Amino acid sequence: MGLPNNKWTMTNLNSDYQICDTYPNVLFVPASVEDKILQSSANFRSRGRLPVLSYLHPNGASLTRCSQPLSGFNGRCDEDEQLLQHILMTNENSKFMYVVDTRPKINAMANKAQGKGYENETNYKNIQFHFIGIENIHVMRNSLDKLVKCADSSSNSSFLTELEKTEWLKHIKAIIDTSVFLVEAINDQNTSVLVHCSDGWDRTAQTCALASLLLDPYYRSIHGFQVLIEKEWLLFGHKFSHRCGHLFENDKEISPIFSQFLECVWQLQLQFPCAFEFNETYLIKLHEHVYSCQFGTFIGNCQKERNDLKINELTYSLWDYFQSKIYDFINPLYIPNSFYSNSVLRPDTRIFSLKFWRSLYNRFDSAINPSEKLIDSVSMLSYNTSSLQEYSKLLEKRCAQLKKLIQLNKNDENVLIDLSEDDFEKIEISDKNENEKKSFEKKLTLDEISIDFNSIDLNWKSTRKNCVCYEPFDFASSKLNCSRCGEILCERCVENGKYVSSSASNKLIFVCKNCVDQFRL
Amino acid sequence: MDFMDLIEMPRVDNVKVYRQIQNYELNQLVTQKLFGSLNLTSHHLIFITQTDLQKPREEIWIVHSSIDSLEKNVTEAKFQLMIKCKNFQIYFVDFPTAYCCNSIHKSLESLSNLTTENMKLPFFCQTISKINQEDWNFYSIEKSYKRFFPNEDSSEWRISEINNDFKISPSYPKKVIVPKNIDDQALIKSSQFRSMGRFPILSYYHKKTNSFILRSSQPLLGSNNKRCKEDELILKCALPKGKQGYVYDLRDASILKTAVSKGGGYETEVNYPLWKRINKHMDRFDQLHISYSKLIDACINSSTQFFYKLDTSAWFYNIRQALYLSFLIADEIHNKNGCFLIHGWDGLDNTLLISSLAQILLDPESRTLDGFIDLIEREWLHAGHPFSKRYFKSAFGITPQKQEGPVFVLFLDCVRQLCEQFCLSFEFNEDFLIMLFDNLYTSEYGTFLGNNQNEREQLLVSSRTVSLWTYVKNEENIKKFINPLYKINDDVIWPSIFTQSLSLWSNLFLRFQINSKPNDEAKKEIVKLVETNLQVKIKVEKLRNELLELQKEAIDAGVLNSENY
Repeated sequence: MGLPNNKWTMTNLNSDYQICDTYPNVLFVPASVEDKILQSSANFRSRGRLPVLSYLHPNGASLTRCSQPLSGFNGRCDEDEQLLQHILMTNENSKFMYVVDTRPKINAMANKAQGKGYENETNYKNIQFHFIGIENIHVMRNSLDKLVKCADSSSNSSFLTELEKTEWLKHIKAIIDTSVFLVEAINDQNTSVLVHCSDGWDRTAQTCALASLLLDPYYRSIHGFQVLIEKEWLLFGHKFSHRCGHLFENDKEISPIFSQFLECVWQLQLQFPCAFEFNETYLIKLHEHVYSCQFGTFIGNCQKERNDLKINELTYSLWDYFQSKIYDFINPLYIPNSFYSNSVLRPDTRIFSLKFWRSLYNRFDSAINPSEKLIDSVSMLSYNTSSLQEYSKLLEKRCAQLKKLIQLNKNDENVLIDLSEDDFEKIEISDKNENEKKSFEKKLTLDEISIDFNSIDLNWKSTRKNCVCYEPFDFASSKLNCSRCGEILCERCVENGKYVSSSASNKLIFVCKNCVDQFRL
Repeated sequence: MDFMDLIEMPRVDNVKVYRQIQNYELNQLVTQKLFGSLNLTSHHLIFITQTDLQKPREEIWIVHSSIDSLEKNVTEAKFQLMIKCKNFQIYFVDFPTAYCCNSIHKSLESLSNLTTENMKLPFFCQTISKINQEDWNFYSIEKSYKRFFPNEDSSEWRISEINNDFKISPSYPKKVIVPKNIDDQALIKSSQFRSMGRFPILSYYHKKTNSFILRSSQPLLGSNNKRCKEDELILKCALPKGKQGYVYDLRDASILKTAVSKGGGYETEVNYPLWKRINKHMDRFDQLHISYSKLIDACINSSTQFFYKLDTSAWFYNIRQALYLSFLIADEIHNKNGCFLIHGWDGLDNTLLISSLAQILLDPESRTLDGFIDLIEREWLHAGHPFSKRYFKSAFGITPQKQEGPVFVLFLDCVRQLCEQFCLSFEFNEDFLIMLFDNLYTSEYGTFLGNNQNEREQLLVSSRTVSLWTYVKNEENIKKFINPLYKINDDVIWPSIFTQSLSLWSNLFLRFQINSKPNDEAKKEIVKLVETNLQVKIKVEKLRNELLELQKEAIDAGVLNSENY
């Protein structure tokens, strides 16, 4: 985002989590603002979550986030009002800014009675205040409960009516709609937006993250998406331990807030199949591991907790694991430079464009999911193409070597009839490439050529097939073809095989256990 | 009657047309306003925008027969006509005066409701391409017979030409396949016992298990419990030893009494002892039309309770039911020892739907482009599905005779569901199915004219119009309809019939509401990937050969040895 710049600066005010224990230790705030103001603003905001930068658009408009003000019925805070003015001033392109309260108005009103509430438009200069109306964590939890029941195939007869009753897709629509509102404000109207809900770690995280994803193609890459989750969710203190029920503490804290975010991303993937570098499997596996506690990444409720638990030292990171399985997560249809992957995404949020996420909610119900998965075969196809390209390089090299050998033999016909060890040396020297020299010396025998020749199967087995071990696939399980025999393999069998580096380049090619044994690789 | 009698005002100026178009940049529907003149010709309504320096001239052509319904809205200040098309497109037209609005409305009402087959568009479109007889004769019963029974001598079935003059059964084709041991006299007797003369004939023969599907219409039992020995004989002879026969009656058991009282009926256990009757309900074509209208209504007015509306339209119920029944049949035929006779009332609608879906599940051939066309010819066109009646109006309209019913649309949707669940096993793609849908209602090609082969012959369709398959087989067009990922699948396919597994056909039912561009981009990318893959394979093949030759040369020259040597 080009930070810090002359408008925005990094502050260490929270370096020991002293003003807000659920924020990261580093915050970005307007450069013009004094620490004193930040301090007072934090005091005026629920749990000290003062307005800080989430995303800065190249046009100068910013996306900032915070928690609700402790305004009660008529409380106000001069410094908080000043901070908003500073945020407004960072953007020269607009005379006003939006303050978006993502809660339904009635919920915000109810909070007033507890000394919390929302910004009074008359106190803050040049702000436009909006309620948007995403329901709270309890409504979402109940909705998911209904959805899961409804997805259960045994009570299937009026699935669509049941789906309507869960209101799940209505909630998904509300989240995407809010994000679209943020995108339009920032991108189309050059206007900054401050977003909050109650504590600013659920609905705020959802909409800020989704808006960033819509605005900036970077977040649609595998790396960028990871950064986005780190930033908007992990650093800004989405309470993963509580929301996902990692420990048996309080049922009322559990809510599928992050799952909803993943589902929103999935809805976008569905509408823009070429705009994301990662595929659906990535989201499903991410969903799995947010709950699995197999990795430390999503343990704890905020950065401070994770530091205290020494997560970094004691656990493995999910991102490393994902990196090692990256071939599973690449969207083969991703076109990095197309219109849709380069520009702001404008999703269609009309209800008929939102779909039920069957492959997540019915993931393990193989009778419900299609037996032929389009994306699998496309992935296989592109993997096959790249393997064959490697292979053709190898063949080209061998051809060239043989030609040279024959040529050399003809030229020296009078002198040498048999090729002795010395002649190999000679040829080596004429070769420029160091690598080639080696392989030439070692490999150029009939056997080696025939091994090379058969190192790949031209017609890989279709993804329709099951693994040779007959282990059934669930909808998100990975499939790989052995490049040598073309058989389909499941994740477990893949682990028995190995990746060998291609003879033509250093690219890794997967070979199954059978072939490893057979060819002594 | 001449077209010109129906056109009072061939041209009206100062007309405004409103339609919704997709703004791709904003991914939004916007209303486009066009200003210009409206022209009526014998088959088209042509709207031409006024020439403007900034904007190029635009033309909108609407075929009269594609108009589903017209709604006039004339007030003191507004003279508007709403045109709803059979493909779900909607136009609003503002006229300068009430008089032209009324006049155009009157003309369009007549022109869009022409019932004389001879005046329909295909007869005026011979010039689009040459009439190719081969495409008209794409289907022949001899070819099917050969496919079902490669060895004619050992077959228990024969081709009968009893209906050669369409006398026995006007809605049957000239030739049909029947059990070998049944002579033509018995067929005549049986035809008199069956509604519309549709006696039991062979629809599909499953070579792998020697099981089969027959179809017919209901037997005419009537209240005095008539029976027909010859009809009973057909079913008795057809069933080989060791097979269980099932009569699949696509009507609920509760309405059989009504059927009998109206002179129809069912196969009684007493008279057909080898056959077990099973009643399975399918909505009739007129009920299906209501379902279809509700479905399209839900898609167009989708704001609230969309899924609830979708559910109450019963369209998904119908898809599930159709797939489920064909699934059961395929299971019996392939995995057990069942043979089937399918019929409902007249055997013109659901019978064909179920029998053709079962074949798609069972027969890999029918999942190829040619095989699918063959299936449509055999099980729908030659089987006498009344295309002209059923598709006279679409979701917005209905004629007073109420003969409309989108059974074939349901068939296409079921096939699309299968294509989606088995994305590698079908040679054709969704665009092919949408193209069929479009030509079903209004077409420049003669394929879907008339209600049966008899009518088509009387109209001389094959010498006066171009076949739709001529269009499909065109080198340029066929590319659009091929699934790039197709790999032949010799197995029977077993679809999932849970509602979760089914999807709304957005590219058809929401075609004027959603932005298809991002998905088209993905489709193109797949085609590109397949092509690159093919290129690499060719290259590798070439290099392999080259290497082998060089290797030989090297061995001959003595420069290459085996390690072990």
